Amino acid sequence: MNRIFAFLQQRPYAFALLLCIVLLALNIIVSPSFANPTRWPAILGTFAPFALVGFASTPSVLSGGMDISVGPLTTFISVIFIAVLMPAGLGSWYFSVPILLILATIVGMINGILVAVVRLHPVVATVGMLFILIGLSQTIAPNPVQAADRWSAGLARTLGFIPGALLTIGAAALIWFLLRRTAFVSNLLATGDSDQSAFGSGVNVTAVRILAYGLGGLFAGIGGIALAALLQSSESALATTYALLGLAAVVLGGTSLLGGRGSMLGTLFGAFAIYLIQQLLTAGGVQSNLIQFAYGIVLVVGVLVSATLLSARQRGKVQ
Amino acid sequence: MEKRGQPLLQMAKIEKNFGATRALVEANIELFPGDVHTLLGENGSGKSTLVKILGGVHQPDSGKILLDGADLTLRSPRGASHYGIETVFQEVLTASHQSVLQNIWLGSDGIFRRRFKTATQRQQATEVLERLLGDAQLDVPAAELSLSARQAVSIARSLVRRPRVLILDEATAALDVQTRDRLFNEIRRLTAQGSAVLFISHRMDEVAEISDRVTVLRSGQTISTVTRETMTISGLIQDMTGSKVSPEESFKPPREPGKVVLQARDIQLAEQATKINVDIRAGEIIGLCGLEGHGQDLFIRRLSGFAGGPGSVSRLEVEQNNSATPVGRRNAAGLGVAYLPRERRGESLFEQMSIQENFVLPTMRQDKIGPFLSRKRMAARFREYIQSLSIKLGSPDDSITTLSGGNQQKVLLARWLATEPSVLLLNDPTRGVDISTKLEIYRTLQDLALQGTAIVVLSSEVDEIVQLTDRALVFRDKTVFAELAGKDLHQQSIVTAYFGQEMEVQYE
Amino acid sequence: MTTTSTVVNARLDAPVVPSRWTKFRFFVLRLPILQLSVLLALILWLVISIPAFVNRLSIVSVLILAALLALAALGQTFVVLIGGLDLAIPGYIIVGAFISSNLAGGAGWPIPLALLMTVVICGLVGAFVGFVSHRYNVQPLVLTLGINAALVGGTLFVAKANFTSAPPDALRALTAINGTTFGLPIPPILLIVLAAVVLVWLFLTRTASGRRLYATGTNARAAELTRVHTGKVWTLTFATSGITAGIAGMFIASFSAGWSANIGEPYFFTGLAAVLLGGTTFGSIHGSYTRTVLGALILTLLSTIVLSVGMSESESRIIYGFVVIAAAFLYGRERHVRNRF
Repeated sequence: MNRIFAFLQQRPYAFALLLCIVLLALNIIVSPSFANPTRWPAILGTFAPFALVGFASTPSVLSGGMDISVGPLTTFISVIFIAVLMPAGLGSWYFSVPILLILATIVGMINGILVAVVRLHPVVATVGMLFILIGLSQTIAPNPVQAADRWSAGLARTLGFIPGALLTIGAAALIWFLLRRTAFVSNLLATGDSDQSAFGSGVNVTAVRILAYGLGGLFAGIGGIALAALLQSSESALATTYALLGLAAVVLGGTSLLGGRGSMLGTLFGAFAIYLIQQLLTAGGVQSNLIQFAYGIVLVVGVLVSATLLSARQRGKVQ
Repeated sequence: MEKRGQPLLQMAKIEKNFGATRALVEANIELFPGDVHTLLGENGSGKSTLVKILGGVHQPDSGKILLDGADLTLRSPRGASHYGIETVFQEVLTASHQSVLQNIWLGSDGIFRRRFKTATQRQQATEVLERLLGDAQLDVPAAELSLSARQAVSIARSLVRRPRVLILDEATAALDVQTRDRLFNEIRRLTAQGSAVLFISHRMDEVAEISDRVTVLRSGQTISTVTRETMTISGLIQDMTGSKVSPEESFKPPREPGKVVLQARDIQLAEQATKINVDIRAGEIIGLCGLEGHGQDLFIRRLSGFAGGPGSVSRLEVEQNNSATPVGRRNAAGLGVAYLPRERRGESLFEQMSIQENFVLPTMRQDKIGPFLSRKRMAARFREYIQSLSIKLGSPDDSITTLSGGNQQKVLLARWLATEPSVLLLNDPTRGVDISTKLEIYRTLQDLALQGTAIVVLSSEVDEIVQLTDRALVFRDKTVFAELAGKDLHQQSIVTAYFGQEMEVQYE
Repeated sequence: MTTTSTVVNARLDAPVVPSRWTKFRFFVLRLPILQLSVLLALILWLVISIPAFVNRLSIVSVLILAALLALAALGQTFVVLIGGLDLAIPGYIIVGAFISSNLAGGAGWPIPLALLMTVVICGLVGAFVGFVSHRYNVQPLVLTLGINAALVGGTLFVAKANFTSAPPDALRALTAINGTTFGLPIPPILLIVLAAVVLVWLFLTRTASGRRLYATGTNARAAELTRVHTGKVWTLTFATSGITAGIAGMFIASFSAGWSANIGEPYFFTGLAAVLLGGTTFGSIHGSYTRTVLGALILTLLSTIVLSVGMSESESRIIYGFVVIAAAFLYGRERHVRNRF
């Protein structure tokens, strides 16, 4: 038993992984069609926005901060895509994708500047940004607008024979993978772990923080495209629903909100676990309200389990 | 004073203020290639500020820094590093969840760009760490290392960058003796290659061993610079304190210790450490000392009830038939055990609050009229202590941060005296406190002891233990190595015990 | 070679003149002057641009809206003072709204019983949050996020999505625009919030518990070492947050004569904005409920003005966002790494 705990303590994402395996099995038992490969692209398509909002929340948390506004940013980007760029004739992928991603990154970096340069409390700064983004989304599209250009629909289903979601999630994962090969991720983790140590050793803490929030913005931008692909309409009302989902995925994935400890992989598992819970309960014919209830309870239990049984800190206390 | 060519680094007329506090008034220092230059000064003399300016953490308000005779502006530690100035700061700076290897190369890379291949990094890190620690475990998280090893890692971080100027700000405080000796070898190797080392330590034996040149800083000003040939320990101490060495005022009027009030039984501070049994009597002052990290800090926290572990601490109450009650976190206050923690800023002060609010916290109950607190009563109570401890303040409603370190400490002492404790535990109560305040605190403690309070003082200053306490427990390797009292209690005996008696320590 | 120490000390003790900005900040931190002047400016603007606004009904309705917002933000003020954040506010509000509408209104429960039930449920849940996050060192942010989902989902499930009931008339009279208290033409809810302002002020400034709360917020470690039971403070603070938000939920449902699934959400975000705008900052002594009430008044007036100039609700949100960031710029700046060495 102790060895299992030791294993889990060393790999903070293991709990979420375990949860995913169990939930996946349950899902297949409850609705056997879940295992049918022809359904996978669609499943991945609905999962992609979840995963990407989780990805978007991760860098800022790893840097020792927090970005509450990534959910609304995701919605904002999808609204801009469908309600602004498409009617303006910029809906084709070679115009829209760069514009949207640059816009999202800039919004993220503004958060980063507010936190790292202006030195606002991250929650305060990003709550302010959340208001601005929700307000903007609703002002631009008070009512859902249908997509005029449907090229992106494939991203939620299949492009050729590739599940489109693999492109969106894959793009984000690839960016992170490439960054891990540079010094950036080490700098990021060290900054979140102890900004004093990082600063004292010569890491440009300010730049690392701004880039972390910018990276979160970039991922939220990809998430916005995935969301637009899935819905093919601008649903600005989704903003608050997505607002905190990302954080839930991050925490369930074993990333410490105190910064410096955690992984993108964990977030992926965390997001998948949340998604699977919803799928399972929906497939089981459970009422949607009860799904929300269960999701809340799982989150509370997950946080408590990782804070007590799986925390390495607990071992330190014994001394 | 003979000069050896051009100084490598020069700091001239450095001035620095923090808000209303003046940290440096006029600091000057010159580092020559191949020299180990020691910076000496009491706590609060401005050493750390000077180091932080040189390390790029703070920018001076005025004054010049010259490297090879050319003007230098240092905006960040990274900027300093660019010019080959590497600082090991007083606090042990490691990212605890990162591996040792990552910690050693932390900050050497750009934001994205890695400077060396992993293989090169590993090889260099292994080399340096082996020279410092004897072995190199590169892949364990820093959190799993001992404090000493973590400090060695942060020293290694500076060494792998091949510094021209290496600054060690009390970096030896956290090191064990073996690692410190290895560090000294590294320092000699560096200076032989023409680098300069700025060394800061409050341990005179280290200063005497390694320094080529010593600069004394007092109250933010450079007082003197002497070379190895002309320096004497007593001369340095005189420059540091600004007066003749340790006034021979006796703080030990004869008194009879009373009954046992606090009893420590079978306290074990680490696995396999020898158990500690101590009786603390009313009206005596006990000193706890030892090199940093040898268990005295944990022991006083065990006594206070804030730390747990094997063994027991009991409060014996004479009035109640000598009944023994175990002291815990929650009941200590009720049992008359007061504890003044070590870190003023982190563990004691509420920096945003006023002086009076800081004083009143544990004794607010006395000011209650109905559900509300009476400000009048509070002020009256505080006034007593302002007088008896001669606390210098503007108004009790001013922010606590307007006070000097010494006066802050007096307020905190008053905070606990107001609880009218039977046992007063003080964790390094005169750290960063000027000499005259120190003497006032000593007098207050003596008066308290005469009135029957049992006092335990942990101190990092040997003189304090000698001047103030009736008996001293010297800690080594997480247990009491020696108990010294009466005629046996003097500087030489304490320092000898620090090093486990194997070492011959020269101390003038 | 040695200078006399007296000379050195004299120079060290010479005071450094604080800059104007420092003085201004200090002033602003001490008293909510800034909030008051903004509030006055907004009132003037409103009165000048729409003279018709000056009538009893409009004024009272603005005050009621502000009072409900302030009540929903009461607990959050405490939570922010101890350095936490309570995301479960919408959950508590929906519990209160459900109990007052469906149980007291629909099923005819006596009002005291409904009140008791709200207090017990929300209080226990809040206490759980506070206790657990202190004991296991969990960020209350995530914990309350989960609790919120559980409360909202659970309540809606129990309510079977039945939104047809409204709180009983006796409750609705408390928040009615033309309501009276003891014959005075003031709706009782305004007096309730006023009483809360006075009580919280007394609590925070004049009681030992208030001091302990501030101490826990500013330096939890020092508070624990000064024999403050910080765990108790956390538990009670989060319990208070739950209770007050639950009661606010009862009133909110009464005011809007019914409830819906997302009745609580706006009150969470806007309530937090009111706290921050008032100048209460995370874990500090710079904060009070009076400030939150001022923040709530400012935000309510702002949205009234914004709507009256023909801007939409969503545009007022954008303004809220800028206002929160601007307020934080004045109050809540963190210390630079270099000053934490």
